[in-house]
Amino acid sequence: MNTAMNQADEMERTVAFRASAGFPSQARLAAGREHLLAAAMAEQGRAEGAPPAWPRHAGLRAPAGSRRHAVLAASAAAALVLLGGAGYGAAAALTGHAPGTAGTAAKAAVLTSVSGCATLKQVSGTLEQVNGSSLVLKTSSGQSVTVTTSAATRVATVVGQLSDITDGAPVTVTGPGSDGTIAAQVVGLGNPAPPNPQKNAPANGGLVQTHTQTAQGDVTVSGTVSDASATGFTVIESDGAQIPVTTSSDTLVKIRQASLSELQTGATTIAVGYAGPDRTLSAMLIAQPLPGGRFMLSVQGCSSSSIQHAITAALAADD
Amino acid sequence: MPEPSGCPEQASAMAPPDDAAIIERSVRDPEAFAALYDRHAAALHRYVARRLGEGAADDIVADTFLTAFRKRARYDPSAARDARPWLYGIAANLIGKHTRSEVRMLRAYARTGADPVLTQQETTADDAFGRIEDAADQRDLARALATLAQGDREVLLMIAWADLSYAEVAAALGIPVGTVRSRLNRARTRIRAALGTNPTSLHEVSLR
Repeated sequence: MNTAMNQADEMERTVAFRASAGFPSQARLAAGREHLLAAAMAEQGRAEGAPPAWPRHAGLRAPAGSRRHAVLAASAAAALVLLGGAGYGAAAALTGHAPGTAGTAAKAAVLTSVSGCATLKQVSGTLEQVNGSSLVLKTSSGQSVTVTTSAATRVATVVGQLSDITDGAPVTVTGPGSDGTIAAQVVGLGNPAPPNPQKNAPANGGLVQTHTQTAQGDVTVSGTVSDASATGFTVIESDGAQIPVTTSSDTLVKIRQASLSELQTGATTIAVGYAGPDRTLSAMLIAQPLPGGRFMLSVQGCSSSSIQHAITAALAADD
Repeated sequence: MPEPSGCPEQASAMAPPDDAAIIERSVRDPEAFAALYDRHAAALHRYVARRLGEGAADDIVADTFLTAFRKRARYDPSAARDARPWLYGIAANLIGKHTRSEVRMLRAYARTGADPVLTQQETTADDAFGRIEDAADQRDLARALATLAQGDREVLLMIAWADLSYAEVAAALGIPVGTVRSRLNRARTRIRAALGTNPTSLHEVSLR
């Protein structure tokens, strides 16, 4: 008995040795995967006898020499990604069962890289269906992409209902202001946008200084919903100021922290995340932007924190 | 293995393909090989990083998958549907080129108490506290691991850290299962002795 216990203890200690060494980061793995895919694509298209294009020592770390320099330079640059509605879909939608040689080129383009982090992929298309924790997007070229989600996936949609605006909800309202009242054009439900000093300007109808105003004269206020009704509500700002807001059938309700069930089938949908096998995308972000509008994601590198920061900022944006 | 009729993506959505199916498919569709990477790269990286640190693990994992990718057409799916023995075998060959480095790091840890492998890696405060608590044991273990023959250490760590079975280790290293058992027994005897237990007395106890 003692022998068995001691032997188990000896093996357990070996198992535990350096067990605190963690798994590699997603960014590290994604970089290695990117190089593997590059080699696979090169294998598919290269001439007989030519070496694969997957560079030695380039798998999980930034390549050496000039290429490394280029990678680092690209990571350092602040890249603004504009993910538009239908127009963007045409650029991203290429792959799948396309026959012949076109299929290979198409597969490379179905999930396009996000500027600022090449390992981060994006796809845009019409939301066809939601199956539990995954959904299917159909691109403008008719290809289907399966988007999987996890608890960490951020979901946002602009196709919410006025009835989604309830007392106590954090809200950001944008619209023309007059006599101290805002006629809401866009109501963002969820955490308000971070302050942007460049946007501060005098506002209309007594909504002065503490509010932001766009070049078109729209005013933006953030706070908590009170007295919600079918025709409007009141925004209680952090300093206690009360701003009346009117709503109409033209008011767009943007849910910044939506669930998959709140996404609207048939609407243009954007997904950003990491490519998986068989034309799948493991999503970090899913968004349904304004019809005909655009969704802005500014990525400055592949670290988890910078990607999360970019997503949070994009979801908190006013438009 | 015959290709299912219709769209392969639809077929794979119903039942995830095993490793052998992915490798077979990747012969025709090289991109499909990425699925093997998705499935095994993280665990393989962690295994190598525990032995040699993250820097070396980056290179070794990259080279392992590059080598596997080049050899994928020669993979025998009838021998194993699980590709881990194949991948860890390739990695073992690459790790073998770093034997001196591995032994040097283990000895340094045993001598100084500062693990050059873990100091490369981000760990939580709790991890660090746990390591301090077990420092004496860990140093003894590092010293013992450094004294093992490369083949014995390889078998022991594949079983302890990569969670491979005896048969899988045998397949990975291209040796008989009996050799795996004897190497493991030798390694564990040394480890046991290093941790302060006399294997002879243990044997006597077990005979009672």
